[in-house]
Amino acid sequence: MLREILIIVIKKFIHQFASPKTYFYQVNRLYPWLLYISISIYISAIIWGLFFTPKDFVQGHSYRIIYFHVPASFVAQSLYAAMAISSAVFLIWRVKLAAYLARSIAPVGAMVTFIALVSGSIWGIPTWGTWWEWDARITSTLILFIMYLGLISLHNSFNNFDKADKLFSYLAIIGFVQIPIIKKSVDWWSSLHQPASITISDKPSIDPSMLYPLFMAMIGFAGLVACIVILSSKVQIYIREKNKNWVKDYV
Amino acid sequence: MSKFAFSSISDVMNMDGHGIYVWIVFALFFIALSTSFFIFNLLIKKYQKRIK
Repeated sequence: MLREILIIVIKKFIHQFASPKTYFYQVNRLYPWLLYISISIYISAIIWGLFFTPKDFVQGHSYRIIYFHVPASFVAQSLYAAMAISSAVFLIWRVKLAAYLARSIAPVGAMVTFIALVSGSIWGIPTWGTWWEWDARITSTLILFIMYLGLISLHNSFNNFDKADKLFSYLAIIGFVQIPIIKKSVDWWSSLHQPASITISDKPSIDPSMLYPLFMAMIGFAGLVACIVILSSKVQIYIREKNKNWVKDYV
Repeated sequence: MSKFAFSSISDVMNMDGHGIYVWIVFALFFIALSTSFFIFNLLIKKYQKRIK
């Protein structure tokens, strides 16, 4: 009996939340809160990291780029994971909102991966003496960037959204294999890129005075990127649902 | 929170010669994030106009 009630509640929740209309109104309410909280956290983290953390004894002040580069790299990979999960939800349960979300994540993911690559290259100049090296981590991140661009181009090349969504979803799921490769690249191959400073299993190898603002920067940046994804998903809803009465009423 | 890590504004800008890299990355992030917000808001307005 309890199980049946639970299934009905879950189905009702998924059914309601999977509706683009419900999603649209919910994110409209959430957006200003998320935006202002994320901006506050991110600005505080950047001020703390840039001005109030001690100088690194090996890298000097150049290590302060960590407060930009690490959140961007983390979010670039997380966005791809979110895109692959949305694609799987679309293919398994035929939730069209999941397809809209997957498509709306792609351009934001490409932008975040691009700034992660460029900030890493700039950090490489004072640290490694070179802005580019065909190192496992850097090359696999470049491939991630190309994958984002490829998925966007593929989707744009179709006039039929159904076909585009299906093919996009299959390729996004296949491309997910890239994420553990990026993550483990510094362990599997001899690499110029330093190993991860923060892992789930071990104690962080970074001093707490530098670690706390880094965590804050990661949360704040993730929140800001989530806001951009919300805007991007609204664009997708306007494109796909333009003939629906609720969209016309809203506009 | 730690102490202020610099002794003057020029120290903040210079960062022992590393300031150029740090501030370029800062500018890159500022431009990328603000441009993204601007472009998506512009697109939303464009599609809203079309629907109207």
